[in-house]
Amino acid sequence: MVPGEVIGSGDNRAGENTVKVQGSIVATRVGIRRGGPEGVSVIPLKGFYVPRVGDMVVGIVCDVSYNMWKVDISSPYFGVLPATDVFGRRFDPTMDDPLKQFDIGTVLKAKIVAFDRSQDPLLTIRDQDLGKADFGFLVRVNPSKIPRVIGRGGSMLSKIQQASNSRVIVGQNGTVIITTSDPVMRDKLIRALKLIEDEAHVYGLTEKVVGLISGKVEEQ
Amino acid sequence: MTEEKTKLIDEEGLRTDGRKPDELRPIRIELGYLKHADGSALYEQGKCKILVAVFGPSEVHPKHIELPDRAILKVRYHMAPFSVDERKSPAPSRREMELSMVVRNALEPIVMTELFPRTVIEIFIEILQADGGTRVAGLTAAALALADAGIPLRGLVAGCAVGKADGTMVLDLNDIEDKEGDADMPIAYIPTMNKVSLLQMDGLLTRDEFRQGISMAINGSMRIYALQAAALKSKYSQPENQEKEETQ
Repeated sequence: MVPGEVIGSGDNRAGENTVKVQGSIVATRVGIRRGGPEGVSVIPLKGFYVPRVGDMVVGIVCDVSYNMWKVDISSPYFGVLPATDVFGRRFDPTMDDPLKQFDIGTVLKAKIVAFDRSQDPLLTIRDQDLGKADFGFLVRVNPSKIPRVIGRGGSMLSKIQQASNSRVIVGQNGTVIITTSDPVMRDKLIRALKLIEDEAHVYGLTEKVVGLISGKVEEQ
Repeated sequence: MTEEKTKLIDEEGLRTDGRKPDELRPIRIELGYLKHADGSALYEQGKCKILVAVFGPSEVHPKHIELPDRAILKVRYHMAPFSVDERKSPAPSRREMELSMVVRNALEPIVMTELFPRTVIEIFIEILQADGGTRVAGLTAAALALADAGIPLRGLVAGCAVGKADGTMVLDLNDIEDKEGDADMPIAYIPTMNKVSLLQMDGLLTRDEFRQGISMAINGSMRIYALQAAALKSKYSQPENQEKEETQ
């Protein structure tokens, strides 16, 4: 589907990435048509990350002000992490130094708690497995391919972690943290992520990825 | 001393480059041409070569120009100093500033700016080689680059010029027809909406010629639209089993 291509009649419900134009539903992005009881929609093949409440994202601190951190979450909007969330109490400028907590360049795992048209995404690190990422290797994956990296019910991700015996943290915004002490495995994981990105729609991809990581299949 | 007028249509009814009056110049499209842009397109129409880069949606600078209800569309139409016969100053000229605005106005109906309030979408149209009809070719290429960037669009916009050369209505003018012809009318058309998003005219046309010109230009735009759609589909084409995509 390409933008402007008619994907259904006006009787259907216009789902994600579609719009009603002159009585028919047209695609708004390049992608694959999907029809279902919830209406017709388009799964985009390329895109950028649009924040959604509840998403876990991996971001980099890009600005520190006296009571909040501005976090680059690779989306049109910067994430805002308030100091009250980090210190767990009312922010006191005489006692607390935001710079000492998270300096510019710090990689954070955070969750989006609020976002709408009028305000930037509000982040929190007060949950399990959230907060500063002390070590690891950052890899950027096209955000529209992230569901494939995770797999149905997390199947792909758990198989990757099992096969590589390392920790892979996937941010919904397309930033992935690979945590492994073995540089060979790290390179294999990067190649595996690129493979998923390039061949997201190929059947039997999970086996191919696991094969690549475990060294049974050589990359073509 | 009088200058001899170039013959634009020969005895056989063919144009200076051998085309029939309603024939388009050969078109070549390459998407994702630039690595660092969010979306890009290289567009060639005859001797015209145009490179378009799209960035965004991203944060607006300076902050005070952001809009609370939609994204800003920033368009820069620029001709490279080597794009024309005589060196063109690289500084933005009055014509380029006007064309940037004209192209922006023609793109606004298709870009769903209301989805991304407080952001900016930047479009850079760089004319590498000019040979007539660069504003509509730039616009056609910009629509492709926007789609390549994954920005939601209501449809694609395609455009081509129509004009009068030696009393004959001709489609997709080249430089010499543009300069020495009797009239030049660039038109951009959105097939999904059946709407014209750009129409300018320079020269004189009768009412009948104007009507004929509009229908020729829409017909030409539809042919360009088919090429745009084919280019996007071939770049993002997937194997047969694409519907079986696993999702979370």
